Amino acid sequence: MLVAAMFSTTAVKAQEDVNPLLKYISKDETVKASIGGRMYADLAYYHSDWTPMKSGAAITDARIHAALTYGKFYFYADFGFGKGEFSQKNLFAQYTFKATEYGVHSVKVGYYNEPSSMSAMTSTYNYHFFARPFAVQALAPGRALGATYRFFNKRFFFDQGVFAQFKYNEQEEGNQGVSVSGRWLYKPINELHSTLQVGISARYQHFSGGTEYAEGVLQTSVNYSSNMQSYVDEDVTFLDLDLPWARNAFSITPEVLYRSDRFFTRAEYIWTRVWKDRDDQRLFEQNLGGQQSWQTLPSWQGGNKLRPTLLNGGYIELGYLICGRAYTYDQEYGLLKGMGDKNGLEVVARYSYLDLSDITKGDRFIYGNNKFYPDSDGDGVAEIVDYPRWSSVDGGKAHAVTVGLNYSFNQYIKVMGEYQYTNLENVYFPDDKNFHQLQLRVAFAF
Amino acid sequence: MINKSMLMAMTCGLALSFMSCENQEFTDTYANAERVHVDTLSTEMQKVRDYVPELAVVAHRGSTYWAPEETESAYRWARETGADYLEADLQVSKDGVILALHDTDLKRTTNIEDVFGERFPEEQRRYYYETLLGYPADTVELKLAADREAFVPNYPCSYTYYELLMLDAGSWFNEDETSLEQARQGFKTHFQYISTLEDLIMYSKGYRLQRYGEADAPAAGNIDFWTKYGSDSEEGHRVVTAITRTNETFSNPVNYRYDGTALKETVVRYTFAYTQDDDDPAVQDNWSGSTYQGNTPGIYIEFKEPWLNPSNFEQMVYNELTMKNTAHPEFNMNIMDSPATQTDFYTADGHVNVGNTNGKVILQTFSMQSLSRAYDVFKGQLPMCFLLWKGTAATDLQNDDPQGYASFINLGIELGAHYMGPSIAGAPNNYDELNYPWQHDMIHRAKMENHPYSFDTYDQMAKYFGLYNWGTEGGTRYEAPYLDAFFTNHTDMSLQFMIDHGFRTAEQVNVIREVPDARTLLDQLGYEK
Repeated sequence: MLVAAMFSTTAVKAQEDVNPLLKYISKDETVKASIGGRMYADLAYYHSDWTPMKSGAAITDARIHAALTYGKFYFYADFGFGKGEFSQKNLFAQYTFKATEYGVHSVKVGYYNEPSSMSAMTSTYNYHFFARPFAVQALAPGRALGATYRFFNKRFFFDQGVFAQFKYNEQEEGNQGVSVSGRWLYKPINELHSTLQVGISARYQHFSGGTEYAEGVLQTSVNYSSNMQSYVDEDVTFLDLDLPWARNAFSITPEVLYRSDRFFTRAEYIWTRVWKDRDDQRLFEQNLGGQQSWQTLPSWQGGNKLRPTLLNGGYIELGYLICGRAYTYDQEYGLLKGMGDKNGLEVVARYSYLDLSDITKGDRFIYGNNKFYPDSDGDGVAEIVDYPRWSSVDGGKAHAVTVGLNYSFNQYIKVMGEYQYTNLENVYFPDDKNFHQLQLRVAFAF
Repeated sequence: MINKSMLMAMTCGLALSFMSCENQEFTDTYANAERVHVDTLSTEMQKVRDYVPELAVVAHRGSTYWAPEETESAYRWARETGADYLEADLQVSKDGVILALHDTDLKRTTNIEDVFGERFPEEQRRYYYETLLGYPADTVELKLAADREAFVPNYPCSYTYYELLMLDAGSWFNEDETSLEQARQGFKTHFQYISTLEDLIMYSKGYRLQRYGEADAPAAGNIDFWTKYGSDSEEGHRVVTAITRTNETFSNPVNYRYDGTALKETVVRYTFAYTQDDDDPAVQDNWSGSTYQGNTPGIYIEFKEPWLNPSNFEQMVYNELTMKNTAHPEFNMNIMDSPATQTDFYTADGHVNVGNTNGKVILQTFSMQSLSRAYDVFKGQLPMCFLLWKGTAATDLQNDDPQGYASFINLGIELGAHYMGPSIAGAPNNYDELNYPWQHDMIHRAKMENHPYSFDTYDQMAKYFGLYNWGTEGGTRYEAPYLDAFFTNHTDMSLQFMIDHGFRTAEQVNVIREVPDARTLLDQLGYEK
């Protein structure tokens, strides 16, 4: 039953957002091909306390994809050109072993999303909000070059693999390396009318390479950032953290999903710790040679502090289907599907937060010179000195509440509306606290 | 279905493209400057702020243009020209003499490379310990060993003031390509010394250095500074009547031993001699017997970054300002110790009198840490200026937008400043502009005053005094001039500009009477071309 259901849904749309309109199926059904695409037209109005966001309209996403199924092989490729910028998206091949009563096994190779957060794995077309939550945008991995093995049956879902950072033509200096990631689910309830799944995903990332910082010293780095859960102005400066000297990172993401015909709720929490490493000895030696040099390695290290950084975020999403047949569940990927019923109408709500701030207790930040001033003597007052020795970092902290109303003409056309309030804390935006945004989207897929 | 969907998509795309907001303007500096929060100076601090006259002219290092900076010649010139303040940077010698000296490296403004090179001045130091200070032989050897180990060349605090007196701080000016046209033999024949804070105060009070060979000077040779090391004669050198060890100590900020400990230095007191600066009665009318009737400017002194100075440096300056350890305790400049009794910034007969009011000393620094330390000692009772420089170094302002600028104003208020001192743009220095009209206005919103630096040209004067309609980008909301006092290297030009354009009151114009021609004045002061 499950196997049949699985193949019925993936026959020609393993990765596609909708059942393709342009498709070719050979008479013996060994060859199936499709070409499709999607487009989002967004309208947004923003109001902020200090730093303006650009209200307006934009084609925030436009994609073309091609898919081919040949026997047990599946090939998929797509690219985007939203806002006039070409970008390569997925490019992979998948082989699915013969389904048995115990489950379905498959392997996948190419450039695609690392297994991680269920939010990150869900196509934005099938998402119930305009954008993924802050935490997922910032802390969940994106696409990378790699290979995975996946297994699922009615009760379990395992997906894990090894990845290299970034595809061949988009290598970022300072952030090369490898990662190992996986997502594992248990589904105590998995019926036609309801699903309950709990799971966890984890990722270990090692950074190598880097940009030349000094003679013989390469500096690795990693960036964590998110837009304000909107794409008309997708500025990421409000929630943006660069971590130089990142060497290893580990993330863990527990998740839970429940859906019934009329209701869904899902939540995730992402915890990330970044360890750093730097060739202190070499950098210290290169500083020597002047009266104003640091005279000892410990003194140099004291003036150039480095410590691990902790980041986290999470969200909870709720939806109620007012009109339409039912919310449905994707067995192959362990995900909630999008609303695509004829004349479907749903109301949704989300609480989302992200903490990219790791500030040592007592530290005081002065915006004029972008420096933190520690409370070195512990008297509760930060000392204003000319050479403060700090290790705090701040990429911002945000809490947002979103409510939305979505309508689907059918699976190919949707209209979405959303209001969001965001509260921001970021030392680099001292007068920006409250953000309001109203958004409207018309989404097409074919 | 496809056609219908695509049609809708194209229609929406076309409609949205007309609604694009890519070209919207999203920042309004002027509006932001007015809505950003700034703290305000307390009522008590405002009273201290007002110790200083409006539109005061501060002679930056005396002058960097007409004479060797921070020397006797520059300060005498500035005083006689009519500056309201003589500006100086404070450092310390190895034996605790507070210097008026800008550079932390002696090479630019002295001939140290000819005198000492980069070697430890062994012979002079031995003479200083043995003969001048009279230490026992074994102590001398111990002190020399420690000094040798910790010696770092070219830093002022690596040399005793006795050694610094051997350095010619005037000749470089005659050879530097930027000042060749202003070169004068007089800067060499009238040996220019690295000034001390005491010298600066004495210059401001109408004195100059007394030199051997002058009519009233003591006989040469009571302390042999010069003939022992190079000079043919002591004649023409400044008179030093005594050198005395004290019990006061401080930690040398730069001279560290191998084990990382700073040398503990002993403060040595030099007794200098000064004379009334009234050599040519046809030109100067400074003295009537023992009564001084010339200009008495205040002094505007800068603390450098703390690492360049002893940890108790602010207290050392506090003590020095009292002049109690000098031959002229009547010139007490420390109003905390002895408040001024006069309040008029200009005398009725037309001379600068700022140096006799509570505004006689203004403190300044770029360093937040120095600001904080100075506040601990001076308690906000002396006017103090927080200087601004744009950059990425330790004490620099990085974000000069309204929020960043406001954060430094707030910091200045928190750390006890009464004024902000921003850099100005324009040739020849081409500093970053930190004195836009909105920035001046923001300083005023905080109830502080604005002391920008450094003026070198007529264009800069005209710009910041509003003659060029500069600042109109902000509409009519900002009223010139965009300063409350200012640092200038051309006191003569600046004063004349202010008189010509009505920025000096009738009383003040009466004070200036006539701004002397710089070259003529230097001739008259004895610095022959």
